Amino acid sequence: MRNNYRIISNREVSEGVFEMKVDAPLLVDAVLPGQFVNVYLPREDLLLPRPISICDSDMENEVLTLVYAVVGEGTLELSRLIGYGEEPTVDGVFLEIFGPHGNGFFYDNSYGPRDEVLLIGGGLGVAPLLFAARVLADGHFVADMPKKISAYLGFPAEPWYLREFEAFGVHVHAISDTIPLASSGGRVGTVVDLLNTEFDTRGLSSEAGTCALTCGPQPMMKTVASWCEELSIPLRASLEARMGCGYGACVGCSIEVKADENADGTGAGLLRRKVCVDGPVFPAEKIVW
Amino acid sequence: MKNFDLSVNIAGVTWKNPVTTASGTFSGQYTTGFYDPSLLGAVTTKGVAPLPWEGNPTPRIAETYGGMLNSVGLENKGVDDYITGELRALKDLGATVICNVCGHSVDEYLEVVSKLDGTDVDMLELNISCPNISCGGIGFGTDANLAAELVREVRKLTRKPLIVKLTPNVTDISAIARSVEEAGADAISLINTLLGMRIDLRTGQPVLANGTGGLSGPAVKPVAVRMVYQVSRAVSLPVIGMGGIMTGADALEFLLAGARAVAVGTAALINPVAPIDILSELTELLHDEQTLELLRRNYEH
Ligand SMILES: Cc1cc2nc3c(=O)[nH]c(=O)nc-3n(C[C@H](O)[C@H](O)[C@H](O)COP(=O)(O)OP(=O)(O)OC[C@H]3O[C@@H](n4cnc5c(N)ncnc54)[C@H](O)[C@@H]3O)c2cc1C
Ligand SMILES: Cc1cc2nc3c(=O)[nH]c(=O)nc-3n(C[C@H](O)[C@H](O)[C@H](O)COP(=O)(O)O)c2cc1C
Ligand code: FES
Repeated sequence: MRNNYRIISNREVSEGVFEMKVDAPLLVDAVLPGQFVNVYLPREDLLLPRPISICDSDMENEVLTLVYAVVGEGTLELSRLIGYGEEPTVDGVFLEIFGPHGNGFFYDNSYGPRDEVLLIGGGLGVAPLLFAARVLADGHFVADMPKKISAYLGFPAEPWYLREFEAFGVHVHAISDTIPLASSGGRVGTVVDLLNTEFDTRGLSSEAGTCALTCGPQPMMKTVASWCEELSIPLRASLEARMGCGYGACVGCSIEVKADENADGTGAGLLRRKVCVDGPVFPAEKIVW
Repeated sequence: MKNFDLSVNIAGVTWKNPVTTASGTFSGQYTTGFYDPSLLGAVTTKGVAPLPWEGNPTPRIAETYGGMLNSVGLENKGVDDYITGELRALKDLGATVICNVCGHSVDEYLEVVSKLDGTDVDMLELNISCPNISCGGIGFGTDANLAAELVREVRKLTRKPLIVKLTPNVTDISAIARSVEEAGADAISLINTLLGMRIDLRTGQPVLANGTGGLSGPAVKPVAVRMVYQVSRAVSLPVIGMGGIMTGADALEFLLAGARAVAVGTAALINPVAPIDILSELTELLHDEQTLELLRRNYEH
């Protein structure tokens, strides 16, 4: 589905991080947490669409939320668009979106043990976890709701969206690289620092029926993956790749993943997979970090 | 709108209209979810080799001003998988299929061609122009003698209509075109991508893991139009033109330059239905008597 959607608002939620809300009646029912959309820019020389995760989809109000960081020309261009909700004289700024693409966090209609789901995010990786929280909390997509949802969120500077997570009943633990936050006991540091303390104090493990979803910078996710492996907590990670098309045609986003082992222990080689259609979410044990 | 015949004959194969897809930008598995491939004159599939190829390391894609660089490096699952998978599926959908063939050596090209010869693939496109593999590919496309020799060897193996796809990374495109014509090619397609590079200002290193990549998209169109113009005057074979076609008007420009048909590549990565949109825009433009007259005059040359 490729369509133009009216921009409602486009505001900075933290330094260099923007939240864009669009009226997307055709999209809100069609998207799943962990999927992404291709966003087209008005400037024609910026030829390729930008892949942006769906941060939230509010079916009731038909509003789709994207959160993005300004890192280059395309996202800078995006940050300059004005929504009709902000400027009453502006009534027609449209954003061209094509999607959804990808499998999403709940690709097999499930997510693992149901006692506690950990949402582990770093930087912009926090964004798609909000939609996961919504879906886990309202039982709309996953019939079996988890007993508890905890989020461990790391930010480079000022945190954003903590209240949005809390609104879905999520137990939020946030930490910043640079700003001491109350929710991390006034410490600064990374998500992995947070998880380490949590491991000491709460004794998280697979026996406790815990599973985890993660999105964030690759080194962070790699550490999270080894942490989860140690505790045998099933983990799904959302990967990023440079994309040409986002729908499976160009083979630009190809990565190697581990193949399933045969019953006799053979066949566990590497396979090529496309992040855009086979991912972006993969079970952590299949990822070659 | 009155119905009129847009069909073209390329090397004995009738295409219902002069639009195909550019190799590497169409997927029998994924693009067909967006439109019926039998609506196009033909579809051209991604390069296949005798055995699966890994392709190049990532990042393989970089955007440039009005264009893009790719260094996919012909990642493919091999010809056997192609024959039972993508080719079968596309033929079942009623598409006219052109298979893009690649190899590191003459023997590799011949192996693919001999396997395809026994299938119902409609046409073969010899890719002697990929800038993204270290040996073979473009090595054949930049040397008129090597190119001719490869075409002669392939010609012995198959009677399938043979399109030879040329690289723009040469000094004299007409010379290469003439030598593949003499060697027995049935049609010529061009252009493949232009060798390029982008440097990341923060790291000082090339953006693509492979260093260089092939430039495509609107940025290359003037080069492509010029080469189509030259080649269509240098040989009597039908020419399939491509390089930066984004609209029906772009397609018309290639036809006026001398192409009998056109292929849509990068535009389809941006919008999967671009080949269909471009076909309908082109159809509209061809309803103009003056435009038709210009085309007729060109064909008479
Ligand atoms: C599946 C997926 C989901 C994503 N979700 C989000 C999100 O929710 N919020 C967010 O802020 N960012 C997200 N990103 C990253 C985002 O796509 C890039 O930051 C953005 O494309 C940068 O564009 P630019 O023009 O500002 O940067 P430039 O560097 O000028 O872009 C040049 C080219 O490189 C590509 N590119 C640059 N950085 C990246 C990157 N990190 N990943 C992929 N392509 C890149 C661009 O798409 C463009 O084609 C996601 C990436 C992927 C693959
Ligand atoms: C991602 C990508 C992959 C490509 N793969 C192939 C290929 O396998 N074989 C080939 O002959 N050309 C390949 N090409 C070149 C295109 O078929 C075409 O010649 C070129 O991109 C110019 O057309 P365009 O500007 O419309 O894309 C590829 C181009 C792109 C962008
Ligand atoms: S981005 Fe084109 S195949 Fe994945």
